Amino acid sequence: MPGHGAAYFGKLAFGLVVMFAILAGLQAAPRRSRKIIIAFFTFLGGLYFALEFFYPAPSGENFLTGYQPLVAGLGAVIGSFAIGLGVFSLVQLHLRTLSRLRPGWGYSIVLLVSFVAMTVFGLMNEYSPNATVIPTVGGLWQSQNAHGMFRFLFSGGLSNLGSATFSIIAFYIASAAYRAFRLRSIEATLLMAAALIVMVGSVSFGTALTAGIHPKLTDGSENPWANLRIENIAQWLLMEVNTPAQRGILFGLTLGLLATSLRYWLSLERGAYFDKEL
Amino acid sequence: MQHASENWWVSGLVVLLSLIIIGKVLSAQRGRVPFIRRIPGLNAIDEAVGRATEMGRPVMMVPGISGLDVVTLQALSIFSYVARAVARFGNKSIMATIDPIVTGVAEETLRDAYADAGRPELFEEGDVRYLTGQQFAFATGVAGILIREKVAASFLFGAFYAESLIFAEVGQQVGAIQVAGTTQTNQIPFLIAACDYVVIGDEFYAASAYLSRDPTLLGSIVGQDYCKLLLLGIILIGIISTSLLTLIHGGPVAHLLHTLVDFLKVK
Repeated sequence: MPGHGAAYFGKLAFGLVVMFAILAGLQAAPRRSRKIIIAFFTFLGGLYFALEFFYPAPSGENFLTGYQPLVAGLGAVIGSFAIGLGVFSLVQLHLRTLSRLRPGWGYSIVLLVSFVAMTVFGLMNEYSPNATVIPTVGGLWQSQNAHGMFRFLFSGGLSNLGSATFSIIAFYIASAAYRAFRLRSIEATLLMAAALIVMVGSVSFGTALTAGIHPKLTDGSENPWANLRIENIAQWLLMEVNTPAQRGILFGLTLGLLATSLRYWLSLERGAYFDKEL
Repeated sequence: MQHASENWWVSGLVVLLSLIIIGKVLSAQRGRVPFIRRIPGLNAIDEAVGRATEMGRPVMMVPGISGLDVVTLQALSIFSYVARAVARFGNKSIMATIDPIVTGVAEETLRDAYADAGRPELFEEGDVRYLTGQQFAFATGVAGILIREKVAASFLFGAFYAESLIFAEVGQQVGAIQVAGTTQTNQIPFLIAACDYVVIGDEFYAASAYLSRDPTLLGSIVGQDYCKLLLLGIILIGIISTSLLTLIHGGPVAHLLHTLVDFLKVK
C-alpha cells in the first residue's frame, strides 16, 4: 500500500533533498576522488554480504542479518532515482522523433499516449480508485472508475500483449529448429538424431514404437534389451549426455561469476568502470 | 538465508577458490601475463561491425534483461569494446535496455568508448534506449528496432530468458550477423540455432580479458582455470572413492572411503 499523509510526504521530500545533496556532492568532487568514493562504497556493500554470509549463524541469523531490509532499501532508492532518468530518456527520444516526424513517428504517439494513460490511471488506482473517470453517456457506455480503467489497460491490454508476444516464440522455435536441423555437418546430424530421439521418446506414439521390448524377462528378471526402448534412450541422452555437459558449463560459469565479482568488489577491474586513473 | 556455518567445507572451498583467483590476478599484475586461447565468437566482432559499416546500417547491442548485476556489467564491458570498434569504423550503434539503472551505466560506457576511440561526436543521447521494464514488451521493442533500423550486426550478451529467441530470430530475419553469449544455459541452444557465433559458458566471462588483453583480467582467467583443475581433482577423488566402495565392503579402507565420500557430498 502506498503511504499517505503529511508525515509520509515530508519524509519523501527529506529523502529527495538528501539524495540530491549526495549527487551534487559527487558531481562536484574531483574525478579521482569520485572514483575512490565509488570504489569504497562498492567494497563496503560487498563486505556486508560477505560478513553476513561467513559470520556464524547458529539459529540461521547473525547480528548482520537484521540489516538486510535496510541494505535492500538503499538499492531500491538508487533504483527509483534511475527510473526517473530512464523515463526522461524514453520520453525525450520519442518527443524528438515526433517533432522531427522521423519514420515511425506514429509509434511514438502510441507510446506517449500509453505512457501518460498508464501513469495517470496507475496513480489514481493507488490513491483514488473509486474516482469516476468516464461518466455514463446515454446508452453508449456506463461510467468507469479509475480502478476499472487501470484494470482495462493493465490486464486487458499490457498482460494480453505480453502473452501474445510469448506465444510467438512457438513459431520462432519452428523456424530456428528448421535451420539447426538441416544436415549440413556431422554435428548438425548428431543434433538432429538426438533431438529426434528425445522428441519421439517423449510422446505416446514414440513409446508405442518400442513397446514390444518388455522390461522384464519371462523369469521376472530385468530385460537388458529394455535399454533400447526409445523412452529409455531419450532419458539416457538427457541424463547421461545432456546433464553432464550442462553441469560442465555451469562450473565454468560459476567460477567466472566468482572471479568477476571479486574483481568488481576489490576494484581490480581496469575497464569501463574503474580505469587506470584510480 | 544461507550461511557459511551451514556447510563450512563448501564455504572454505569458496574462500580457497577466491584466494587462487586473487593470487593469479596479483601475479599477472606483476608482469606474469599468461596466454589464452582463441575464441572465434569474439574474433567475429570486428568482422560484424565492419560488415555493418559497409552496408551503411547500424549495430545493435542488448545487455540482457536483468538489472545491474555482475552479468550485465560483464556484458557492458564487452559492449565497451564493440562500441570502440563501431566508433573506429565511424558507424552508429544502438543499445536497448530494460533497466533504468543499466541505462545510465550503459550511456557512460558507450560515451567513454567513443571518446577512447577518438570519435566522441558520434555518440548521441538516443543511442542507449530504455524501452520498458516488462520482459515481452522489451522483446517487442527490440524486435521493432531491429526491423525499423535495418540493423546489420546484432550483439546479444547478458542474461536472457524466454525472449532470447525473439531477438535472435528477428535478427536472423533482417539479415544481421549475430554474436551472442549468455549465462543462462537453457537459452544457449536457441542462440546456437539462430546466431552466427555464440560464446559458451565461461567464455562469456573470459570475453573482456580476451578483448582487452588486460593483465588483471588475463590473470583472473588463469585463476579460474586453476580452480577448475582443483574442482576436477575433487570430482575425480569422489568418483574413484565411490567406485572403490563397490569393490571393498569392510575394513579400515572402506571406512576411510566412506568418510571421504560423506565429506565430499554436498549437504
